[in-house]
Order: sequence, then structure tokens, then C-alpha cells
Amino acid sequence: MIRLSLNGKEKVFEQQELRPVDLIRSMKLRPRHVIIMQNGKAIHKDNFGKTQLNDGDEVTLLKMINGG
Amino acid sequence: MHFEKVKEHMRTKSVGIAGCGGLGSSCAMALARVGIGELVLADYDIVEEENLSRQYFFRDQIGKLKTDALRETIHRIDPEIKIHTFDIKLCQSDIVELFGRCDVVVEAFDLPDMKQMIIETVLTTMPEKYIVAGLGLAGMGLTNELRTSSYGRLYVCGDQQSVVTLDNPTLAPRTGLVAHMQANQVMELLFQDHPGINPKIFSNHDQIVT
Repeated sequence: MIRLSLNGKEKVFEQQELRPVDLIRSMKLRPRHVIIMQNGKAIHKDNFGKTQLNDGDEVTLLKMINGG
Repeated sequence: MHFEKVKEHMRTKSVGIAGCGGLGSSCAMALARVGIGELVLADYDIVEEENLSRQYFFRDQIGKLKTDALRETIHRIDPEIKIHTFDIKLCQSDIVELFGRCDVVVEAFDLPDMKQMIIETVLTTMPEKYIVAGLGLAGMGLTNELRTSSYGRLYVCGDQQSVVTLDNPTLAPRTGLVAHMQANQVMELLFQDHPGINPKIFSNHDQIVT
């Protein structure tokens, strides 16, 4: 079980391992449309499948929204 | 805080504007009016008639590159501002090269994948560089839903939820608000190192600077 603080709210995941790509899939988002920060540090999208999110991590997920 | 002191400090600063549409053109104009020293403008688009509804261009500029048209308009206000224009679709290496000298980068793209690309490039490969992005500006009203949030070196202006659709287009008033929130945030960042003017005194949002 992995417990994250996701955008300031506690969220519990039942799996043993959790990567940004798993988080994105669970939220039905596209990898190219999010910024993910792990404990304040941005993760490059090339590393979404390689980085482990750990129990107790503070994760920020920002959805990229069109318009500019 | 005398305006001449503000302008004197702004003259020493450089800002990169990535995208010269609704956000970028208005943000650049606001920074020009407060005396920014240098602007690096990047956009590959040309001015079209439909842009006039919300972007800082004029009818006689239709058909010109947005970067050229914006330079022309900025120089009508202040010919002293150094302006570098790049008529390209930015990729990761361009961002590092073109905006490396800037104190702050403004994300003013339209498409979500471009927004992601520049934000992650600045945060993961340009240490100590600030980026001020615009997220969530479609529609009208709901002014008080617009806010500036800080995430380390990333600042996000907008409501972070209004998606642009055919039924919920981008409109001049709300786009302009977000563009000016971006310009205002840029100023706050540029004045962090000023010995006499402390923008944090006037700040009403959390500052988390890493």
C-alpha cells in the first residue's frame, strides 16, 4: 500500500509499486498533458515509467489546459 | 515606490515570452509599459483577423508574423526596449538556448503538450530559472476563480480548470486578466533582488521559492 499526499489531499493506492505513469493512467490523463512533481521536484515525462513514487511522498499533479 | 525607480530596475531585466497569442502579446505589452529592458519573443504564427478579438494586434498587421507585429507595437510605446524575435516552433533545446539569458520565462502557449514541454524543460534542465504559466482562462466571468499558485520555481496563473471548447472560447477580458496576472507575477519575481522595493510586502499568496 502506498499513501501519497496528492495535491495536498491524502490518497491511498493498493499496489506495492507506483510510478507516475501508473498514477496518470489511474486518473485517465495523458502523459504529455501533465506536470508531476515529487516532493517539490519536477519529473521529466521521459522518466514517468522509471521513477518510483514512495509511501509518504508529496506529489503535485498539474493538468495542462489548452488556451493561450 | 516611484515609477522611475521601478523602470530603472526593469531596464536591467530580460523576460522570455513563449507564444505571442492572447496571453503572450498582452503580457509583453504590460511588461513593455513598465520599462522591461529586454524581451525574447518566440512564435511561428502570423496575425489573422480572428486574432483581433483577443490578441494585442491591429487590423493593419494581418498577415505579419506575430513576433514582428508585436515588436512594432512595443516600439511604438518604448523604442528603447531590446527585442529578439524567433519565428520558430520551440523545442526543448531552443528553450534552453533562447531563454537561457532571461531572468524569467513566460509560458503563453495554446496547446497543452507545448505547455508541458516548456514547463518541464525549465524545471528539469534550467536551474534557478523561474517560469510563469497560464492555465485555465477560457470563458467569461468568474474573475475571482483566477489565482496565482506557486510550485517552487513554477508559478501558475488562471483557474486551472476552464478548458477551451467551441462552447467555451477564449475571450479578451479573461485572457487579458490572466496575461496581466502573469506580467504582475513576473514583476514580483524581478523585484526579489531589489534592495529598496520589496514586492512581498504587497503579496497575498504563498511564496515557496526553492
